[in-house]
This record gives sequence, C-alpha cells and structure tokens, in this order.
Amino acid sequence: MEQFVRRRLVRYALAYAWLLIISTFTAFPFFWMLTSSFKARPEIFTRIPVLFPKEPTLANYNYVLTETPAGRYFLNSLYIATVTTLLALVLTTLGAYALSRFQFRMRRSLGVWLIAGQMFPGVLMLIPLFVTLTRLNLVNTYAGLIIVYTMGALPFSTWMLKGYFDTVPRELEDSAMIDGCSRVGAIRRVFLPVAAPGIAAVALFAFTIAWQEFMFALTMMKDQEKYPLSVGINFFVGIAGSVVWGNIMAMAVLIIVPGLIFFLFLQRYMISGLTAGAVKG
Amino acid sequence: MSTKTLSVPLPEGLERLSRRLSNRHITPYYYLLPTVIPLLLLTVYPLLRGIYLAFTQYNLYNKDTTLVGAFNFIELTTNDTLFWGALANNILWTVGIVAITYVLGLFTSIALNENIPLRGLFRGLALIPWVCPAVVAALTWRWIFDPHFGMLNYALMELGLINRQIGWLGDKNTALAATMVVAIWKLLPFSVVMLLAGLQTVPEELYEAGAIDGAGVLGRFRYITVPLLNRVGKIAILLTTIWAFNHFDSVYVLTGGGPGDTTMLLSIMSYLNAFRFFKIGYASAVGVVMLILLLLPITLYTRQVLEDVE
Repeated sequence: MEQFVRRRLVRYALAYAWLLIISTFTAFPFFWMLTSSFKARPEIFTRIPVLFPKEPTLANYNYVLTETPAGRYFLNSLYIATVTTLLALVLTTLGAYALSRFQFRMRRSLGVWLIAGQMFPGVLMLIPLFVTLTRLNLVNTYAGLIIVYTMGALPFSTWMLKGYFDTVPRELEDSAMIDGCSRVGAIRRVFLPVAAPGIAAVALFAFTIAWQEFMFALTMMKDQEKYPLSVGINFFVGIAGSVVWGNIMAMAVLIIVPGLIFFLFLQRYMISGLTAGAVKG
Repeated sequence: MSTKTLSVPLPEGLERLSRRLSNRHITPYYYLLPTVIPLLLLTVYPLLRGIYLAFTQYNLYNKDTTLVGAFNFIELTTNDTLFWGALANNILWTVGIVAITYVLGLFTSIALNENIPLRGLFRGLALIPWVCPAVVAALTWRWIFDPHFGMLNYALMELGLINRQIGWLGDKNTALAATMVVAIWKLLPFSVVMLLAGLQTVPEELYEAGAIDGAGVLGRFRYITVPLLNRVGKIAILLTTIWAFNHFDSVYVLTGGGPGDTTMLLSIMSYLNAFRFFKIGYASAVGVVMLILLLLPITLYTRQVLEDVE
C-alpha cells in the first residue's frame, strides 16, 4: 500500500514538473506581451529584461488607440469575423444536418471532399481565388474576405458538426414530426436546442479563422483603412520599425482579448466538437 | 383522360415536377445546395484552376493566358536555384515540427490526464497559444529572440548556457530552428487536445490490471497507452504534417524566407513569385508541387477519418 502511495506521489511530482516547464513555454509569450504593453520605453530597452513594470503606464494603449488606426482595424476584423461566423453557422448547420440525417447519392464523395478540402496548400488556392475575385471586383472589399473565410471554415465545420449531429438521437425529431411538427419545425424546436453545443463549436472555429487569418487578407486588402487586425499590426511594424515594442504589444493584446474571451466561454464545446469526429470512445 | 392531358399538358407537367421536387429523395439537396454550390465554386474551381494555371504563363494585368505545357515545372526543377533548397527546408521543417509537437503533446497530455489539483489551470495554459494569431505569435517571439533586448539570450546567458548574444533569427545556423519553435508553439494545443481526448477513452481499470499483472510504468505505457493512442495519434500526426507543410504566416512575418534563404519554404517561395514577381503560372507550379507531395498524407487522413465513421 505504502508503495502505491509513494508511486503516486512520484507520478504527481513528475506531472507537475513537466506541466510547469510546458506552461512556461506556452504562456510566457502572453505574459511578456501583457506586462510589456504597460511598460514605458526605459523598461523595454534594457539589457536586463523587466518582468513586471515598476511604473505601469497606459501610454502604449493611448498611443495605439489615438495615433494609429488600430481601432479601425479592430472594427474591420470584428465586422468580417461576425459576418463570417453567421454565414458559416447557417450553411454548416444545413449541410451537416443533411449529411447526418439523409441518405443520398454522392454522400460519401461529399464527405471525402469535406475532409480533404481544407488540406490543400493555401497558396495554391490563393492564386486562382485572387484572380477570380479580381475579375468579380471583390478584391479589396470586406465581402471578398468574408466569402473566402466562410468557404475556409465550411468544410471542416460541416464535417465536425455532422459528427456532433450523429450523436443526437434521430427519434427526437421523429417523435416531434409524429406529433404534427413539420421537419423544419422539428429541427427548430427540438433538434437545434439539443445540438447547440456543436453549433457553438462551429461558431468559435469560424470566428477564430476570420479573426486570425493573415495570408488572404494581406493579398486582398489594398486600402489601409480596410485592413483587419492581423494585417494592420504587421503593417504598423513595417512602418514604425520593429523596435516600438510597447506599442506593438498593446496592439497584440487588443487582438488577443476577444478571442481569449470567446475561447474561455466556448473552450469545452470547441474541444468536444473537435474531437467528436476524431475520437470514438 | 387523354383529351384532358392534351388540352392542359403544362399544369400536369408542372404538377409532376412539383411532386418530384417534394419527393423525400430530393429533400437532402435543399439542405445541401446552399453549402455545396458555394463550396464547389470556391474550393473545387480554384483547385482545378490553380492546377491549370501551373501549365500557363499568366499576365495579371492584361489577363493573357498562354499555355506553356510543363515549362514551369522544368524551369522550377532545373533552373531555379531556390527550389531544391526550399523543398529541403520544407521537409526538414515539417518532420521536425511534427516529431517535436507529438512528443511534447504526448507528455503534456499524459501529465494532464493525472488527477492532480490545478489540472484545469494547467490545461488552459497549455491550450492558450490557440487564441493567438500566427502574426501576433511571430511578432512576440521576434522580440523574445532579439539579440540585444530579447528574453531568450538573457535567460540563457544567466544560466551560463551561452556566453555571447545570438541573433536567433538573423543567424543562418539558427533561423530555421527559431521559426520551428514558433510553429511548434502554435500547433501544440491541437496535439494536446487530441491526445488527451484519446487518453481519456482509456479505462483506468486497464492500467490497474496491468499493474497487478506486474507491468511497470514503462511497460504499461508501451503496451496500454501507445496502442490505444494509435488511432488518435495517427490523426494528430497527419493533421500536423499537413498544416506544418502548408504553413506561411509566421515564417513570412519572422524572416520572410531569409537570412540567405535559410528559412525559405515552398509556400513563401510561391507567394513571392505570385505577388512580388507576378509570375502567376510559375507560382502555381510551386503550389502544385506542394499538392503532389501532400497527396499521400491527405489520402491517409481522409481514409482514416472515413474509416472511423463507418
């Protein structure tokens, strides 16, 4: 017995030691970003790095929000990501429902396409999409980016959501339909409330794609005032030089906070959604 | 009956059409079409078009397309000094990232699977890079890697591991490794989530039975954990391979392919050709080479996922 206890203690100690190392690696950049965004210049350009600012200042945020278009970038990103999320939610729910509930020809090939479709090299898709969107006058517009992001989110979200819908018993809608609901009514009143966690996962996934994406935005947005945050911060570094770290870190915090809030609330759904298709107990 | 059909053929036809359209075999398509049509337009079409462009010389301004056969590919493999180096970098980069991410993810998920206090906090900390856009990650790490004001050099010098400042991103010997660290940082959460989910399907009794039968920690790891993680592990490895191979954002921001092309990856090479030198066809050819190299992992992944469903 004593031996078991000792073994368990050793295991716990090892687990803690490893988790401390790995979370230093994963979390340090965030810590650094956050504390540095409150540092004044002298505390940034030191040979001995300052971990916690001794005289925290809001000067970086003040500068970034008043002297740079960061606020504008933020609104651009928010608009693009919100519309993308809504579009993806509607399209994904419809498609995933059909894949989960109906038998039809091409079901398998569609599944293959949904799984494989997100794996193709981004640049290979970027070039023809750029050519096509140029022709449709959609380059340098929010709509163009929204379309691209929605399509980027669609394959994987549809597949993920189908996996989630499969776990919702079919009898639920059947009994509602026997009670006189139409299929659409049954979906709306009975199915969707039960499937909500899976749909939340799709929302998080689509929002994250639109909020974080860089390459397409870099290529497609020409006007500075239309830049989303990812391109905006890189542009700012390009003109200000990579030395105004305090300002850059303040901007970085502005980018990360919405995603972080979203993530904290929906983390559980994201994980269950992501693994639903991949892990069968 | 027959006269009726003759006199009003249209309503009858329309009725049949409407009956056919409300047939339950058609219903799935009402749900699918809004998803499938844009999906086809925006994924199938660009893919086919991209492959086609690889066999052309395309002028972005006057939209002139000239078919040139395999010219781009021949030029790429025989005349471009960058290509083979970028290909080698890409493979080294991908293999290194996948291996390290998997090992780190495995250890982390095993530690997180222990029923220890503060487990939730540590899980959150391990997953947090997920919310960080690659651009922001790249900029923050650029500062950490800075030779004069960066945290890394300071910490390593304090620990006595190095005795002079290293310009991690500017030095040809370390730049590729430094960009890999950032990519691993960003991919680790996914690996942890997948492997942790896999571990949680392993019943505790299995380990207890193993312990009773005299299997040590390593034995149980080797004969219980590893085989049971086989499936999830395969999926995690294939996905990280594909993502790492296609990666663009953080390397573009960190080094842009330099110094001296030591961090030049195929995606960056393709991007620069397309949007800096406007060689659209040539850039597409690089993309097609990437696609060909990815066919195997993509096929394996798709097959694995479909197999699990059926």
